[in-house]
This record gives sequence, C-alpha cells and structure tokens, in this order.
Amino acid sequence: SFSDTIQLKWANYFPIGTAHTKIMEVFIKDIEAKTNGKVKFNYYPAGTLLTAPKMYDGVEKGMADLGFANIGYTFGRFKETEVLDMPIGYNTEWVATHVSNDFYKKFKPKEWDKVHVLAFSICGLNVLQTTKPVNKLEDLKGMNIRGTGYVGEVVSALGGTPRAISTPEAYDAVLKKVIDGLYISMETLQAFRYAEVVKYVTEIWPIGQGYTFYLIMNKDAWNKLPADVKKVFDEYPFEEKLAKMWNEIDIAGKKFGIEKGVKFIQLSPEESKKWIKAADPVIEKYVKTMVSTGKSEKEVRGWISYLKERRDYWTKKQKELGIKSSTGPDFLRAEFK
Amino acid sequence: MSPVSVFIIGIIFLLIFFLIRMPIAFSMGLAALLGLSYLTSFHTALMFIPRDLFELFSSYSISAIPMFILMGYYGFSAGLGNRLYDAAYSIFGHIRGGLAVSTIFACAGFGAICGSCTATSATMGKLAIPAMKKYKYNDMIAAGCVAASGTLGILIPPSVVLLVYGIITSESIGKLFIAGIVPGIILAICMSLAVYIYCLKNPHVGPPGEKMAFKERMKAIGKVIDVLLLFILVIGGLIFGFFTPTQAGGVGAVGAIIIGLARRELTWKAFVENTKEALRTSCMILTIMGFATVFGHFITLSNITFMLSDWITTLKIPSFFIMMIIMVIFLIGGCFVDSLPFMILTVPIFYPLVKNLGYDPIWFGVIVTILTGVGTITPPVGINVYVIKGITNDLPLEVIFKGTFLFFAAMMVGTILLIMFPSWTLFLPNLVR
Amino acid sequence: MERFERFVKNISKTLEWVGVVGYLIMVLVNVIDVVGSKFFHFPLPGAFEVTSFAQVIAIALTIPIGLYLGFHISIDFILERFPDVPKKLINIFVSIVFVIFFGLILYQTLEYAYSLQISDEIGSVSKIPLFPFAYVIAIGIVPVILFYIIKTITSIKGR
Ligand code: NA
Ligand code: NA
Repeated sequence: SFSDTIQLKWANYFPIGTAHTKIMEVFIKDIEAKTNGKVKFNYYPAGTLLTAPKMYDGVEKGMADLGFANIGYTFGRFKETEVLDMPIGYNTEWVATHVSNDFYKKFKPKEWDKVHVLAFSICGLNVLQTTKPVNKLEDLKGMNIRGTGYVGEVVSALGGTPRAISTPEAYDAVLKKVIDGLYISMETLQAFRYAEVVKYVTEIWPIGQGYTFYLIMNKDAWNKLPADVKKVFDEYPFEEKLAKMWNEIDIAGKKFGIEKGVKFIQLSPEESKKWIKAADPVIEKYVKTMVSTGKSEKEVRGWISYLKERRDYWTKKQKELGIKSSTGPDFLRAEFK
Repeated sequence: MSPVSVFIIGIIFLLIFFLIRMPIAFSMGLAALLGLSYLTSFHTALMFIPRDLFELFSSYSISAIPMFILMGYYGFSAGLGNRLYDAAYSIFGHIRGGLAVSTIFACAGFGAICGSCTATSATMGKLAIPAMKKYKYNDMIAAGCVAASGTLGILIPPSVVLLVYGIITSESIGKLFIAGIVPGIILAICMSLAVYIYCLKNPHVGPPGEKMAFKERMKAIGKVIDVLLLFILVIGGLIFGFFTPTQAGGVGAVGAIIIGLARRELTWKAFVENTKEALRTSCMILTIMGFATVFGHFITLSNITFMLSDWITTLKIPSFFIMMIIMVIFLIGGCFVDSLPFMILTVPIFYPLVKNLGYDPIWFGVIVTILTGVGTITPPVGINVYVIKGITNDLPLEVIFKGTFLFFAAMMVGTILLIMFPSWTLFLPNLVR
Repeated sequence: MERFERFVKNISKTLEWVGVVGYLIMVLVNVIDVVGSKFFHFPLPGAFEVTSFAQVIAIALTIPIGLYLGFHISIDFILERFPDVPKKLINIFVSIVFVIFFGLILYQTLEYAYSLQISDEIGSVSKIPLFPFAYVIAIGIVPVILFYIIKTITSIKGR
C-alpha cells in the first residue's frame, strides 16, 4: 500500500540536461520499477539540495539519502581512495571506472565505513585544453591551468601553474585569459562549452588520470531497506552503466570539439616517456604522504601496482569487447571523420 | 500537508518575522529552520545552517561583492564620486533628471563589466547618491535609481546569472551573453524615459541646472581624469581578461586609495572608518545571502517547484498564457529569494517545460535573468535595496523601495516588450553560428 | 549587568577588528596575485582559497557588532506603530527566540567544525585545513547569543 512506500532523496550536483543527471534518472526509473514501487525517489539535481563539496557530508548525515560527487571536492578526506586520482596511465575512462571498483572491493578503505557505497567511477581521462598548442612538455611551462587536488599537482609537476576555479567559472576565466586552459576531461568541451573558448586539446592518456566519483547511500537509510529492495540495489549494474556513460560523453565531447574547430594533439611515444617521467613525482609524493600518516610504504606501493595490474586487465578486456573510447592507444580510440 | 501549504505557511512565518522587526537575515534562517524541521527532522534542518553559512562565506565568486563595496567606499572618501558627478552635471545637468539618466547608463556600463548587480549598486551607490543629493535630487529617486539600474549589469555581458543559466541548461554561453546586450539597452532606455517623464511632471525631483559653457565643461572633465583612468583600469582589466571580478574589485580599491593619497583627500582616519563601514555593509549582505541559501533549501525540499510545473503541464491554455503564468511565478518568487539561488532552484524545473512549449531557450534565459534582476528590488527581500540602505544609513528602507517602484514599472514595460517581440533579443545571437 | 554589557560590546568591537584584518588580507592577496602573475610570472597559486578563507573571518566576526550598530537590516516601520506594551512583549519574545536559535546554531556549528577537523579536509591548492574557519563562524556566534541574553534581560527590566 501507499504507506509502505519508502521515500528517498537523491542528490546530484550536476546541472540538468547533462548525461550525469540523466543517468541517475535512468537509475531511479529502473529501481522504482524493479522494486514494484516500494521505493520512490525525489531527485534533486543541479546542487539544489547538496552541492559537490557538501555531498559526502550531507549523505552521511542524512540531509539526502543518496548522492553523487567526486572526491576532489573534499580534498584530504578520502586519502586512501585518492590513490585512484594518481596519474596511473589508465588508458580510457572505461578502464579506469572498472579499476576503481576493483580497488574498493579489494581494499575496502575504512574512510567509507560510515556510508553504503553503491559504486565508484572515474570520469573521462583528463586532457589538456588550452588556448595555445601544447606539443611538448616545455610548451606547458608557465601556463595557468585549471586543476584542483591531485590534478593540480600533476599540472605543477608538468611545469604549469594550477588554478583552482570552479568548472562553471572556468569558461569565463579562459575567455578573460585569467587561465590559459584546463586539465580536465574531454566531455567538458561540450558540457561546459569549453570548446567555444579553447583551441587545442593535448591527449595525454599515457599519464591518464581522472576524478574519482562516488555514488553513496546514507547508512541508516540503507539499513532500513527490506531485503528484497537491497537485492535490487545490489544487483543493479551501476558500475557498467557509469563506465559506459563516461565513455560515451567523452566521445560526444570530442565530436563537439572537432565541430567547433578545436585541434587534437597526440604525443609521440618518445614524448610520452618524458611526460610519464615528469608526472612520477606526484605518485612518489603521494606515497610519502601516506607513509607519514602511518601506512607502510609496501602497502601503498602495493595499491599502485594493483591499479596498474587491473589497468592492463581491463584494457585487454575493452579490446576484446570492441568498445571504443575518445582517447587512449590507437586500438581503443574511436575514429572521428 | 501539500507542498503548496507547506510553502505558504513558510512564507507567512517569514513575513511575521519581518513584521516583528527580526533582522531580515535571521528571519529567513528561522523560517527555514521551522520549515525544514517539518519537512525533514529538526536535527537535519539544523545541519543546513552552518553548512550553508560556511559555503557562502567561503565562496570565491561571492567575494567580488565585498571587494567592489570596498572600492565604492574608498572611492567615495577619495572624492571620486563628487568629481565624477561634477563632470556629469556640467554636461547633462541642464536636462531634467539628467543626472539620474547618467547614473542609469553609468550603472549599466559598470555593471555590464563587473557582472554582479549587488556589486554595481554598492560601488555606484556610494559614489552617485551623495553627489546627486548635492545637486538637490530627491533622495528617493536617487536611491531607487541606483538600486534599480544595478540590475542592468547582469544582462549586459559578462553576467554571472546568464553564465549559471548556461551551465544549468547547457545552452551556449556565448550566445546567451550576446543575447543580453539588446535587452539591457532597451531596459536602460525604458528606465531613462520613465525618470525623464517623472521629472517633467515633478520638477523638484531632478531639478535642471544652468547650461554650462564649453570651457567650464572641460575644466570639470579635466578633474576626473584620474577617476576615469581607474575605471578604465578596472573595466579594461575585466574586458581584456587581466583579472577576475574579485581581483578587479581589489585592484579598484587599492587604486582608489592611491588616488585619495595622491590628492591628499584620504586621511588615515577616513581609511580606517571606510574600511570598517565597507566591511559592515558586506557583512550585512553576505549574512542575508547565507541565510537566504538555507531558505532556498526549504523551498527546494517543499517540492513546490515540482508541483507548480506538474500543474502547469496539465493546463489546457495557449502557450502565451502559460508563459505569463511562469513570469508571475518568477516575479512572486523573486520577492523572497535572491537571484542566483532562485535561478538554480527554478530553471531546472521550468526550462524543459518552456522548451516543450516551443519557446527559444536563449530568449527564455534572458527573460529569466531580467526577472531575477527585478527580484533584487522587490520587497520584502530585495538585496539591491538592502545594499543601498547599508551604504546610505539615513534613508528608511520603505523609502528606497518606494523609489524603485518607478523603475520596476519601467522594467516591466521593457520585459513585456521583450516577451512580445522575441526577435529583439534573438537577432544578435542568431547572427553567430 | 552594565559591566557585562560593556564587556560583550568590547568583545564584538575586538572581533570586528580581526574581521577588518581578514578583509584587508583579501585585498592584499588579490593585488599581490594580480601583480605577481601578470608582471612577474609569480602567481600565488592558493590566492583564491586564501581569499575565500579570509572572507569567512571578515564576515563571520563582523556579525556581532552589527547588532549594536543596527546594520543588520530589519523592517522597522510597522512595529514602531504598535503601542508600548505589545511592543515590549514582542521584543522580549524575539530576544528569547534568538537566544535559543543562535544557541542551536552554535551547537551545530561546533559539531560541523569538529566533523571537518576529524575529516582532515584541506584546500586543494593552498593545503590550508578547512576546519578552523568553521570554528571562526562559531566564535562569531557567541557574542550574538550574549547580545540577545542581555537584550532579553533589559527588555524585561523595561529599559
Ligand atoms: Na554584466
Ligand atoms: Na525581491
């Protein structure tokens, strides 16, 4: 009956009209259908209930029941999970998303104990979107590049100056030359219309890195769910659907960029090696930081080699499945025109 | 209780709190706490307050407001406003309401660049109102004029509100910016005509002066060269991308100090006093905006916007009338909610609806921007009016609200024209691909 | 009682001075960043975050003095027309409500500040921890509560 309906508030900070907002609408529809109306969602996108920096805290405390955001907005809170933000060289976002879930399942970092994790995902791998061409590492020297958290650190390591500007404001900042570009995923070319203001994209998947997203649920709200509803959530393919979404929107973003006349630059194998070497100190610094918080160096290096091992596994898998991405090595990269 | 009743009861509480002289900011917080407690739980409701305050107080984009307020105060104490208006008076003073019209275009120009109507009103108000008073302009009109014309800035690019609209809806920000230009000018013209006609009928409100000789004009203009240089630095820096709005405000403040020191008009005492006064005005505004965010969360969780859009989709009337209903909703909402939170709250709901009706989303963005701008001068919650109240001190709130009414009416006429003739808004953006 | 009132007012004034320092830091950081990055290729990478955090200090600590100086806008002209007795009762009621309201906010702000403290969250560029600024908001609220406690007592006494 009606009174048995469980009402849940689902928060998302992404604007309406974006794929990240629409995919949650799909989740909502599917789960409402599969639970035969036992669960009903009120959906609050566009940060109307919780903005990205407040997402985790708001879901943990029950201001919303479910929430979606990335760990870059709460820098320092999820130190162990931040290993996923390292420039591991995920070849594609599809690979990265699967790796992130493997990592959580294997190591179960304590920092997520206060909420129920539904899925992780890693967004489209960051590419350099700039107003001046970046063909070599030296070209980046002295450029102001939008990037926060570890993405900002990679920018530093590569020789640029990281700037913390919110994604909506970055458009204006590029237009006004406050910054020379962004280190961010391909899809933002379209989603935030950056293709209107940047002229070049340098694809640097050899040090591929993205932002790690979490989809979580309030612990009490989860515990109160009846077993059959829990089963629906458990069996729902959040991971696969998110991986597919990130992959598709990056392809769309690149297409949009091409239409707007943005030029896409690939690094030569020799140049790639230079970038990998330049980005390595970020990983080393992360290891040191974690050791200073009491982890053993062996354990932290273990996480990193596990990530690389899973990266290779999922890269092979993607090739087998014939899934194409916007960026990555030739055999995974989609053809454009 | 239905969403509508929860919402209405919340608004009634808010009004009662206003009437028993609770500060506006705290009234919004308290009404929100009660409403959210009903909708969620008392503890959850309480959690919104420190989080929303912390987020607003630590918002970088908001920091443009305190910076421009500071620039206005330093500029005032360095005598920039007086000299600027002496020059304007020498040119336009012989026209009835000439200074008011100059103020409207100055605000449009300044606000155009800085992109925030609150910052515009603060900067220009501190300079314009005392100067207009000196030339025997009526307080009410002077204050109303600045409060209202501050809203023009959010139409003419760049504009924070249009930017947020573009992000929320994924519309082209470039097109939105271009689309704002003509409506901004049309509204400025409507407001100028309104004040001119009003001054014709009530000559004491904006009395004309003697027409000055060319030489005198040149002399007055000569005295404002440093002021103009400062404005060129701030505005030029913004246009050519030298700095963010916050940085522009900071640079402008320091520039005003330098001019004041060079002209020996800014004393140490005046510096300290003006810093404090500017901070107090900023504190008042940001505290209101902080608690307004909490109130916005009450409105979100009341689900009133969902309910309204569901109701509208069931209506079987011509789409023009539906558009009118949406306008009225925006006008009423604007009375209680500040422009940006309001935009974030309503656009996700109404955008798809309006698009389904076959209206152009770029045009809708412009109309919504105007309406949220109008909201900054409509009682009881009118941020621009509060800013003017903060910087003038001696003018009662209700007088300033009265003063804005003339301009409100002019803006309504302009808005209706823009609704009737969408092509006025759209021909410029349609020129770009 | 009057000594206590003076004491609270002095605290509010002192906090305002700290706020002024925060305000001037905002200006300075901005100008240094602009001059540094545009003329000397030496930007302050954490400038935006420092500006934001300084703003919290500036705004939160200026709230209490506003109650004495009356710059938190309220709508006066309606209550002015009330007769003295209901006006007095309303004033007492409002003061008590605010003692409770801000007491609750203080408690919740401390809880929030503590949760930020144990979360280790830091500004992603400046590496400055967030939690001290949440405590700053709590500090700004304390004199507000004291102000309304004093106002409750003086209203009851009929001053
Ligand atoms: Na503007
Ligand atoms: Na209003």
